[in-house]
Amino acid sequence: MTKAFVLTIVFLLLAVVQTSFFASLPGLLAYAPLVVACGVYLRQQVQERSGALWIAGFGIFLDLLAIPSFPFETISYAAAAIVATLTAGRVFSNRSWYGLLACGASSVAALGITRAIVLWAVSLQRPERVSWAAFGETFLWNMILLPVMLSLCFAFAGRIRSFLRTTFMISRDRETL
Amino acid sequence: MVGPAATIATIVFLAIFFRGPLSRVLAFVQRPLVASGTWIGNRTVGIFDAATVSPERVARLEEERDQAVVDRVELERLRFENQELRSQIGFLSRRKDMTVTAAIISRSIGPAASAFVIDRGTDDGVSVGLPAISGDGILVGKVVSASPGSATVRVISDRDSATAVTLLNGTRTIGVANGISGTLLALRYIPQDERIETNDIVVTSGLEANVPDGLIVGIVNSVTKDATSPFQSAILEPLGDARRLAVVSILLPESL
Repeated sequence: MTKAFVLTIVFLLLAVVQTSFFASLPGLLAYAPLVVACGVYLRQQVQERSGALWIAGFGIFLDLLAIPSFPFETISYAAAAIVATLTAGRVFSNRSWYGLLACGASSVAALGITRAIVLWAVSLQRPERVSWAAFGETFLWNMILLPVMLSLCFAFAGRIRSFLRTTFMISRDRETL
Repeated sequence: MVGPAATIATIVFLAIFFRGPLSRVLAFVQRPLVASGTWIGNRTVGIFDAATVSPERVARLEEERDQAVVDRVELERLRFENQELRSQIGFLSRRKDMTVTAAIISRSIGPAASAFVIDRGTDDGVSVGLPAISGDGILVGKVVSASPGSATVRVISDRDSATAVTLLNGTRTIGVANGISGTLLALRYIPQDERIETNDIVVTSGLEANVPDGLIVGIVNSVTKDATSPFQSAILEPLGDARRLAVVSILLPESL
């Protein structure tokens, strides 16, 4: 119960930092996918399934606050969470930097593809509502910034594991590294 | 897996049914984060916007431009008011706008910042459709959803936004400005006989419910005229930039 509570509080803090601080920053920094990066790291590197829930939960968070950049973000982030779970569990190794980056890239690709499908569906009804330029720009910067953020997480892996243990988010017997 | 899933489900339930109290609690964390992010953004204009002049000079020029537009709108308003007073022998009654000041606590992701959440809601008199303004009556957006402790504002340059406007030109052209790609607005289907020039000032027309006339929207950036078409169109540059704001004012219905 404590673990679930802490995971939820940390998720809320990450979501707030992304939508309040990062979203207020200028230029490409506003695209920094903090929650997705932390979710992928938690799911892939630490093998903690709640990482996927963070990713899916962020879509719900955006739609609940009515501040999504694209329509129906819940669907797109849910798809990214599913791909993160599948690739982390069955495809990529959790012992390497390459595996982490590949899992992250797969998740962002799933996010982008699902967004594109949703946008295409919306454009059939209301084409004026869809901006493919904004979609392309967001997808490009997500693909560039996510590996940067995952690499930062990888560089501080020891400290992050220590933080996760201290805050009861992982137990020693669940650690795979 | 069940534990965290159940907790997130509980959070979603709480967010839907207790959004007001939850927003107030989160706002304590969000306000300083937005303020610091906006502060950084305002001081790095030259770096991220590829400007060839210093950020201080850009800020000063923008301030001067905004002030000039405000003065021009005020002048136009006073000119009309004066004409009306002369004809009706009335007395001058200044508009006293009732506003509620709100801090921005979240934004949509991306440089366009097409929507943002404020820390005032229905408990403070904020309701759907009310205009959000900055500075001296520069329109930033309109409230699209409101809960007891917070409300979401969609900026006028969002693709889902439409604003009833009038141009301060010779023919007082009226129309509807829609958001297009980036941070610009488009004014379409303007008859060819209307005289529109670059740098014409655009204000709200007052033809929209809850939005008074005279709120500054922006200036005409370019005009497209096609001899074969019965209409011309214009691209507008809004003066209210939601990315550089940490605080806005909501115009309450009592003042409209």
